[in-house]
Amino acid sequence: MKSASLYLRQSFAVVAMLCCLATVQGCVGTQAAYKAADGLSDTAYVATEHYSAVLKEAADIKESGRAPASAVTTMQRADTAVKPFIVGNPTAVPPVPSLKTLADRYDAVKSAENQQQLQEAVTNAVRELAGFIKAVKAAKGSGP
Amino acid sequence: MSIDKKELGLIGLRGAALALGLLGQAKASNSLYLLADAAEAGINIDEHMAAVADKLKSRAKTDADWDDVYARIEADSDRLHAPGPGSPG
Repeated sequence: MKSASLYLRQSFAVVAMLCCLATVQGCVGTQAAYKAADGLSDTAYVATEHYSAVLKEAADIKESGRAPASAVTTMQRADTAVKPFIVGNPTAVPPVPSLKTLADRYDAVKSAENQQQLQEAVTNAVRELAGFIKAVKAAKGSGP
Repeated sequence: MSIDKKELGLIGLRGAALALGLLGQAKASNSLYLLADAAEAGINIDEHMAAVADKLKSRAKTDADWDDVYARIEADSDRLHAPGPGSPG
């Protein structure tokens, strides 16, 4: 059983990462969405929406044909790194559950174990999402 | 019908990019197009996340919200990883 201080530290780490992510993104709407999240389950949903918005942007940049191939490859690799943490990967060993699965579990039973699993998943997703955002920004700033 | 300042700025950037392209300044033209794309994408993300904020303030998220966002992720993931325009190699 983990101690309360460990959960506090993990919560702080998630909040700190989200603040950094919002700063990297630099958008009022993004910050408002994370602030509007009422609890860890909502935060998981906001991170999923954030990933979806960045992914759409990456796909649009790729389809525009104006970004160099190397930048597209970097975006694709960064997406491959973050996607399993968001949508899950049932074929991985051990399988990686989606954020929705973990949020549903936590909403159903607010146990310390479920909280820890969701918190770790959100932390991992946000960490990789920051890398994806950087790759997309780099692709936007690079011309042939 | 009104056009806001952001849209006017994007139209201006793309107009300048077009003009440079017509003058044979392909590199500068492409850079301006990329800049316009970047600005538009930033606006789109911000608007999307602001809508998410409004939704969470007005009501609790539902299973349908999760299904919707996962469907968008799959569609855009297919676009990003599909062979075609912009694909490496």
